[in-house]
Amino acid sequence: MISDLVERAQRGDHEAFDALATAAYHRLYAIARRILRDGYAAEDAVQETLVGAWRNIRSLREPERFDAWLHRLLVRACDDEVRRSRRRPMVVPALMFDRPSPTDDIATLVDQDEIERAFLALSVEHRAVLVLTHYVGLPAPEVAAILGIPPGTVHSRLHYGARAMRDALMPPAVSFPTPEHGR
Amino acid sequence: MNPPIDRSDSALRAWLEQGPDHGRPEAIERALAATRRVPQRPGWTYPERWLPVNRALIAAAATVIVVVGAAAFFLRPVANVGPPGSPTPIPTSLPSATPGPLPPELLKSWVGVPHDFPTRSNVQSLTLGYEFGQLSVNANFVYGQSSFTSQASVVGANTLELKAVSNGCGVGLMGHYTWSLSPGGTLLHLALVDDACAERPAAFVGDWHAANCKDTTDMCWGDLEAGTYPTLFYAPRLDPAATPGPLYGGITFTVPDGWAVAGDHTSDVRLLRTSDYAKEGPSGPVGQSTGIEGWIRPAAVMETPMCADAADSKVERTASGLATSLSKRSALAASAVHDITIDGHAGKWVDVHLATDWTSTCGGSEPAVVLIKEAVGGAGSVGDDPYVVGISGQSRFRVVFVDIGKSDLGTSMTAMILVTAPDQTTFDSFVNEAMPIVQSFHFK
Repeated sequence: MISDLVERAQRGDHEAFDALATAAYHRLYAIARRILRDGYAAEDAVQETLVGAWRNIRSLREPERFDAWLHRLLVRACDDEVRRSRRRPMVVPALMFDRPSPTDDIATLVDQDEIERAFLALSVEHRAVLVLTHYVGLPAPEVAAILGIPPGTVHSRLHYGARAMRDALMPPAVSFPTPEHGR
Repeated sequence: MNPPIDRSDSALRAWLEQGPDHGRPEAIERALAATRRVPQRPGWTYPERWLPVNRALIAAAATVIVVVGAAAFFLRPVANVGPPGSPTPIPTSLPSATPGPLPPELLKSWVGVPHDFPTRSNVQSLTLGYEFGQLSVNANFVYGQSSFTSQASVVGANTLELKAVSNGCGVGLMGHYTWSLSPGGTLLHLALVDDACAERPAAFVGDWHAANCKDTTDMCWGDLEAGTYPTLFYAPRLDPAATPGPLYGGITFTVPDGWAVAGDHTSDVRLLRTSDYAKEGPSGPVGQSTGIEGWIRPAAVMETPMCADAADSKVERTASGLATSLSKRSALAASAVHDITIDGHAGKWVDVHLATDWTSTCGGSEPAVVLIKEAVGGAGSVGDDPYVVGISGQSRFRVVFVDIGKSDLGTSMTAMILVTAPDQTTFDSFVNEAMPIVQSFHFK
């Protein structure tokens, strides 16, 4: 069904693309919001993702990979969003927007601000690995395929992410490792 | 969900679970509306992206691509393409081991010399791609029709195991191939060990060259080892009345170590030193670059202080006509026009920079002028608009025009090659390095 819609969209059928985009929107938004920690930035990233998907959908050679391809575009769009936000003269701090409130026992035990700071100190690629793994629940090979990185790099980024979280949760704070960039 | 590793994992997971899972309805509508405002790109098109499509900025840039559209693809087999290096020895027996993931050095887009194979004829382009754990071969960029899609894993030293998934082989049929890489990792050779799918080896076996473009939405070689290479899209003999189509090897060129192809499109190709390419981001150069650029079907423009770029139909679109025209432009300080022969084709070259008394800025921050634009015929421009090349500030260009013979439709064609640098000092040292590469151009 999705493949049919993708193939129709590749032939320029905008209604088919609308159906695909509408079905994917909330999922993409939820992921982007968790990577960016900002609802408005997440909306922008998803919009950029969908525009890019429509524009380039004919380059998608395997329609059955549409969802994974969208995720890859989304991570790129989140990266772009972070770069853009750094150039904005005024930025609403992510901590001030749509900040999560403690909802369970674990959350009440930890300093949410510390997690947020540690998370935001990571690169978008590292955040994406954490979100795709721990929120979406994808296995490492699938995360690797989405991000275009070797599975080993996924494990490496998970390691750094976990270490960052541990550092955030365990006083006194140990010096935070510099995120590994690239491979 | 993966099992938690420790308390920090649990905390992170709990933290990630918080917050809204749904976007606002108006944001969905806005996003869908935004998709309706952009056209789709042809799948084989790789538009140039590094400069904004803004005519004022375009004219102010040293070398500007307004629009590069229709990219083309692959070619006929070209002899001696790629680095000459000695490949890593290929194992002669199949080691037994637990299948593992492909090593990073294989996780690239690979381009092969086009050739027909079972299930595909009239192959004009050939790529080997790895996505989602699967290797597949694609001919002619036909969407959704990759061939021999196979789950790929490593089962021993330099040995791949391919398990057919779809598109050409019976599901589950296994094959084994050894691989070897050139010293720089840009040339991959796949050799057959065994394959239960009789058709697959013809598609996979052979040489594959890494396409390492920084812009992952683009397709170009990226960093090169010393050797001779084809272009992937550049089509210098594309008739103005002809529609672009797949083309491989529009030119071949030879480089020493330390060079890269940073962009390759139907209308242009851009070669840089690796050191300069390293300074660029995925979106291309910042400021004025030092490099070699090939352009198709150049046309002279009428010079105006307002930076208009109307074609000057009085200037012959030949090497002599175009070079002489540039040498007489009042906006430019130009050298004498010199003869040159490239690949047996006669040409002319002239060095240019802005005249000291030229003050028009074309809306930018420093003096600038339009030099050349794309000649357009019955098929329209290659992109949405004809490309425009300008020069600004202290930039120095060697502009080489070469009469390269006739197009498929019988039109006499001229190609333009630019050697560019941001200032005189850089130009003086770079031009001697660049010209042997320019002289190596072979036009298909």
